[in-house]
Amino acid sequence: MEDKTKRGLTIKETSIDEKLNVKADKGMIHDMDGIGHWVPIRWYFSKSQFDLNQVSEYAEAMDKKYTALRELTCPDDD
Amino acid sequence: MSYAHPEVLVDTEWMSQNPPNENRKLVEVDYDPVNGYQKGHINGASLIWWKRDINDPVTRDIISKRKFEELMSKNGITADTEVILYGDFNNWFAAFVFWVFKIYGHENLKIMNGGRKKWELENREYTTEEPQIQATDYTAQPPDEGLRAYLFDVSRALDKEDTVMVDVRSPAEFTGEITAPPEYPMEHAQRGGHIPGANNIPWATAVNDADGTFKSLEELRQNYEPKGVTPDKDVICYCRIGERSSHSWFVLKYLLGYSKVRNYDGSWTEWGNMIGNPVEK
Repeated sequence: MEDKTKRGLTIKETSIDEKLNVKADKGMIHDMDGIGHWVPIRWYFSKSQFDLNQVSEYAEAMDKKYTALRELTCPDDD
Repeated sequence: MSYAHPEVLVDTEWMSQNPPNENRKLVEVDYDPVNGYQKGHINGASLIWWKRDINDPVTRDIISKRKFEELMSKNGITADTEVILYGDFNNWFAAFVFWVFKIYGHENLKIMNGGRKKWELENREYTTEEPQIQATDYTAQPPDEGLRAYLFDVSRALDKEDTVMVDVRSPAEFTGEITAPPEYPMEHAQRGGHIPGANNIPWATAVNDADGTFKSLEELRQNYEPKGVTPDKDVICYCRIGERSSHSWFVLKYLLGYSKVRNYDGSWTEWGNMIGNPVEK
């Protein structure tokens, strides 16, 4: 699974994403104050541990998060 | 042959043999202190956090003279103190702070060549203990505006043969392919490209890739002079937010000894966002 909002971000390490407990490629994004935050870019769900429905749930949760963010800044007129 | 002002540099070995004391202060300058100073720093070093300490918290500007004096006091620095700066991100922000110190007239100022990068490559020690600092009284000089270029200086320089513009960003930023890397989403501009007539001489061409130290005098000359950036010119350096350009400003002014070099700290995040500014790709 890939977070496409992180496209182009340099992969700095591959380690376990503790939130999902899955191996992930991670990069760093710096905030307004210059502080770097580790962010997952791509997750590697193993077929032996996860089925497609579980992965889809994570993908939908991510999509929901970005939709909420978009609504916060640029809400649809309708 | 040595640099024009070799006294502005110390190396990591010298630093390890000459720790900070009452008359010598060591200051780490970080863009990201959470992943830098707070994880470990050279023993006795205090911290200047670029965003919090050297920039005005509201207006986009460097701190005022009064705030600079407070910052010096907080770091135990007097007007006579020897101050050595080093930091993260290849000393970019240490160079920016060097530039601000010079604007407010601090004389005895140096940079540790190679910064955190070289110190770490040499497996030298860090501590997480912060030094106990006694506040001082510090009176700064009035700002030396001759070190700084503003938007109107750059606009006015567009048609001037005697002023050369040095864009120290990456070639991808210079050509407008990107306005900022994805790692820095807060530093984009509305337009990509460069100031018309600018030379692209990336900051990195002035340092040795292996350890981040400055290249030799002859290598530096060869880096700038064939592109028309010569000591007889009025030179303006810029990048995206003014930190990489202060690194190149330091090289041109102190290592090569050019007499007239200014840092345009508004840089691309100002130029590339202004309505009507000419842009070249």
